[in-house]
Amino acid sequence: MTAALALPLDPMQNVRSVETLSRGSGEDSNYSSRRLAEEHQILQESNVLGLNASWVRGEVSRVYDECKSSNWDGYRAEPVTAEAREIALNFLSALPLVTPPPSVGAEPDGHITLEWYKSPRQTLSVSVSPSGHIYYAALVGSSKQYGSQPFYGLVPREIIHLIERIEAA
Amino acid sequence: MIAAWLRNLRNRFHKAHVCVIADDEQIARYVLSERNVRKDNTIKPDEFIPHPHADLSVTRHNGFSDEQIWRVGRAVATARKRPLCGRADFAASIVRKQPLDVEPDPIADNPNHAIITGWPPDKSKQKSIALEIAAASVYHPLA
Repeated sequence: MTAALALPLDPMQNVRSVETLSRGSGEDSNYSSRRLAEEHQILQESNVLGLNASWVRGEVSRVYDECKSSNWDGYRAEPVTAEAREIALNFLSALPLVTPPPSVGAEPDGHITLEWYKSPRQTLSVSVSPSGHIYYAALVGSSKQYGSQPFYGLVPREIIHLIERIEAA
Repeated sequence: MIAAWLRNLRNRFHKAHVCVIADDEQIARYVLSERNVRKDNTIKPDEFIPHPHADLSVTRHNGFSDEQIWRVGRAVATARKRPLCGRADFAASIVRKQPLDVEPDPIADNPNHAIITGWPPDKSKQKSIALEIAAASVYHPLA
């Protein structure tokens, strides 16, 4: 039996929805998962809703172009590699639909940074390394949170929750 | 050669006897990348990540006039072949509230040069500390 493919009203739950509908077995469940993934991709490519075709992908490429040489900051920074760029783009594609676009930067170790910001004490900064590891740190009022995880194509829940908290501030 | 030796001796003497940086002394980090400045004129934590060095280079205010502080900044920017965008000011106490310290490190072209030391090796902890310093900083764009 084919499962319903309606997206939940809360767009930030789309990642969790894909995971839920993927839990079943059999042809119908696989078909449902593929269809959801395809529709998710189409919506991500939407200029209005998605992070794929929006300006933020252009920003990632611009940061790569500006920082791909050694010593790009004059303080002996390491270059941002094509691998870091690709992982950053994949990370953006994996975010839930209608996630607000981050600002893009780079750190002197060659990591690309994605920042969600409301105020200096309502900020999440995510670093994408060329090895596929994600480092993050957040200030949410008087509390702080930081950690790291490997990126295998799904955005860690901690980061999604932190984005939600920052945006709700 | 004798002059160079005398300069080196003077610098080593000076380094050993410079004043300790008080908690309420203002410190400047020169900003050489516009990407590290947000639209609301606050500073991103990217500016305070120390890699590849073990410590972060800063300049003490230490009695310098505003023009002298900017003069040093322009010299730093020229040496790095980068444009000077502005500077981020913060108190030494902000650094010491983290597990860090700020120590005098005078150099030939900048007697007020200092370094922020004690950074943990863990990248995510560095980012967390950098966020705290950035949040407490006041950005002054180059006029």
